[in-house]
Amino acid sequence: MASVLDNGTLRRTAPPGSGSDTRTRDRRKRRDALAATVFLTPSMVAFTLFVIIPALGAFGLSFFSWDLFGSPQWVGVDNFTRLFKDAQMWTSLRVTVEFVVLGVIPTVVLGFVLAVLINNKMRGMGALRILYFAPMVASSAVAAVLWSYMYDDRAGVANRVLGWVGVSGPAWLSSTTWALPALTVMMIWLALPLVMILYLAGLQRIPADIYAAASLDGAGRWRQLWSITWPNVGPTTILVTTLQVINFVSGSFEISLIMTNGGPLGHTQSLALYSYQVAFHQTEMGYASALSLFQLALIGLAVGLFKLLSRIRRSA
Amino acid sequence: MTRTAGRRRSRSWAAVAGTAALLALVSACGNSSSGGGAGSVEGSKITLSVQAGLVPQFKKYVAAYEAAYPNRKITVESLPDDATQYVQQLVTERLGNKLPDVLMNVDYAANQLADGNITLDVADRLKEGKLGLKGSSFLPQFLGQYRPVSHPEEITGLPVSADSTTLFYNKTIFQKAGVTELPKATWTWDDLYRVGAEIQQKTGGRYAGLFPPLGIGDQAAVYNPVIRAYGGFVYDPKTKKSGIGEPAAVKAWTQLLKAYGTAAPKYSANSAGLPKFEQGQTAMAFSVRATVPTQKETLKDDWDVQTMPKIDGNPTVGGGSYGLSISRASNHQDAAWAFLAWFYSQDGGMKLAQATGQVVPPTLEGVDNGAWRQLPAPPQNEAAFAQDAKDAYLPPALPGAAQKALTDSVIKAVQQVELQHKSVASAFGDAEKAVNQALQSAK
Repeated sequence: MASVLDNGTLRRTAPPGSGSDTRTRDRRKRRDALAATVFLTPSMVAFTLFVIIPALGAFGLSFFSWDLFGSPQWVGVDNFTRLFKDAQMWTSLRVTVEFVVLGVIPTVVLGFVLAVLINNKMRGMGALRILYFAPMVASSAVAAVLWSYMYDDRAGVANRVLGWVGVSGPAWLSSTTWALPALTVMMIWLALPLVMILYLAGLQRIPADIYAAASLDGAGRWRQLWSITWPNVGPTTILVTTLQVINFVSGSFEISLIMTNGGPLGHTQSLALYSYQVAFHQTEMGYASALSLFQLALIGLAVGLFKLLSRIRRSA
Repeated sequence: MTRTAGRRRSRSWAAVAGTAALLALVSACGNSSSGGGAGSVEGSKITLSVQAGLVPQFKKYVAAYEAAYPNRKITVESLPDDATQYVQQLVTERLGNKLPDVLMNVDYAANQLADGNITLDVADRLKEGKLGLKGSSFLPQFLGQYRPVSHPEEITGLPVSADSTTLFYNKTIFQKAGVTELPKATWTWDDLYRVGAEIQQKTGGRYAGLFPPLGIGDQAAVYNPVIRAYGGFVYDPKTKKSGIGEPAAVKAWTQLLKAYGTAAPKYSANSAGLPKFEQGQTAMAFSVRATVPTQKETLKDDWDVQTMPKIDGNPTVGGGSYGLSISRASNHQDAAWAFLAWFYSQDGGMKLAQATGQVVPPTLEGVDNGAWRQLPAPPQNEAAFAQDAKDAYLPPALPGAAQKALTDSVIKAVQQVELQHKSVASAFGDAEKAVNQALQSAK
């Protein structure tokens, strides 16, 4: 027996106006879905081909021992158990954590401060903005080569500037103490433009009347910054921090590869660089895959943690 | 669709995709060992791959070859200049059955490429002297670099140039420092350090006396012959062990490390920061013939070359080479051989190669009477290259990943001594253990 719902009676007897609204909404939904499919398909195909399938391949490979030349040999979970016994892996993990700790907090704080400063409607601010965003167009490989010259202990700009104030600078990239901070400074410089753009977008969403009301209540600039601006860009801070954790974990790879090759004495060898060296210097593709998956799991854990923080913040 | 069903479906999709990716990978490995064939020479179309920096040069050689043999065609393709990426690219091409017919081989990768079934054994063809190309005409130590450590009776490549280390010196810097004693063929390493330190001191460190012999710790062509001159060894293929921590080697390391901060600048782990001879930053440096055109183009000072200094009367010449190999998977092996036979003939490719100023032919005849010796100065003392090519000690490459372990362990030991003030014996003792461990795994 046909239901009253099947023949559309209910829709026809609905309150005036709502039937056509529903149809319009449905049509719009279908149109949106079609547009989304058309726009997303190319990127999803590329993502599947170049990220998902290789990642699954790497997952499969992590159960094999393969030197690139012979045939892969099944080793079960040996690569994963080896991972936790490998002293070099722990050293690389420590270096990665150091990159994150030294890099992420200054990037977020500096990015916020600079975004607040260049958000002002002052004369010449346009030119200043371009200047701050300039590093964004530099490729990280080119920047790494340039900064290597800047850090040169004999003729580099860094030590010349220090020399002007009577300080004798160290051999930055050869020093076990200074190499990692030197690389981190360069990475902060590279990361700042994106962070500033995101914070600028966040700042421009804060309604101006909140500041006007605060001014009337006698709140000074610092008070407004601390009590209005900073809490209102909270979601941006979580997003920026998440992105920068990923950046300092994986982006440290090409920087340390080019500038120090992980040296001196492994002091800048991040987990990503170590897995690359295991793969292509030691030609142990299975173990390198296990290392990469371990890094992926760590990033996933960090992202999950930030998502949780974001949820707690929203519910609070 | 319920959430559970959705999850189940995505899990099974992931499993299918993962298995498919893995099967594709494994089957690709299986296919890769497909053998090649002789093919015909006339009317052949072959491919030749060399590192990107050498492509313009090889295009000229190929143009000359095609002009001499119009019905034979060669396409020149490029390989990455970076050592790691170069091997990676060849492995990828092998997995995809896309290897070129003729490929550039490099001494440090020769074992890996041979063990990976990439390069063809041409020992029989060389013995036979097919098309006039004979193994006996090559300098044995350079040809020996292409004998795989696992099968020393095979030859999987032919060297293109006898690149042996030679002492380059900048006469203008000597003059600026007021040092009149120029390098002589009888110099010892102590003479080298004494004069280097004098230059560095008299110029107030504006010029380096000497490019650090060990560089950042990666100058194998320098440390191998020095260790040998002290009676030690880096790798003994008979015992399959490294001796870089043995007393004789420790003496050699001590001598090599002495240069930092005296004749050469202090240690730097950043190779970009090392003084460059071609930019007139150092009075002396060890280099090879291949760099001569660059020095001529960029260095405006007066400069020349001298044979390497000696230790207890023993030469300390090292070197290396890149070579040309035929791919084992090539279906045009005879056509590839025909090109090589033309390339190594004195009137063929070798004539053009010598004219670039970069190449000392790796044959006895080429070293003594090659056209390269008639090229305009600088350098004037071309005989130094010839003498060093004959004296060159080219050590056997270590098998598999042990070669890379040696490189990394030596750099680490040098840094431990220079940056952490660890004793030479202890640092290189640990390095020896690491290399022997890698050799054990390579077995």
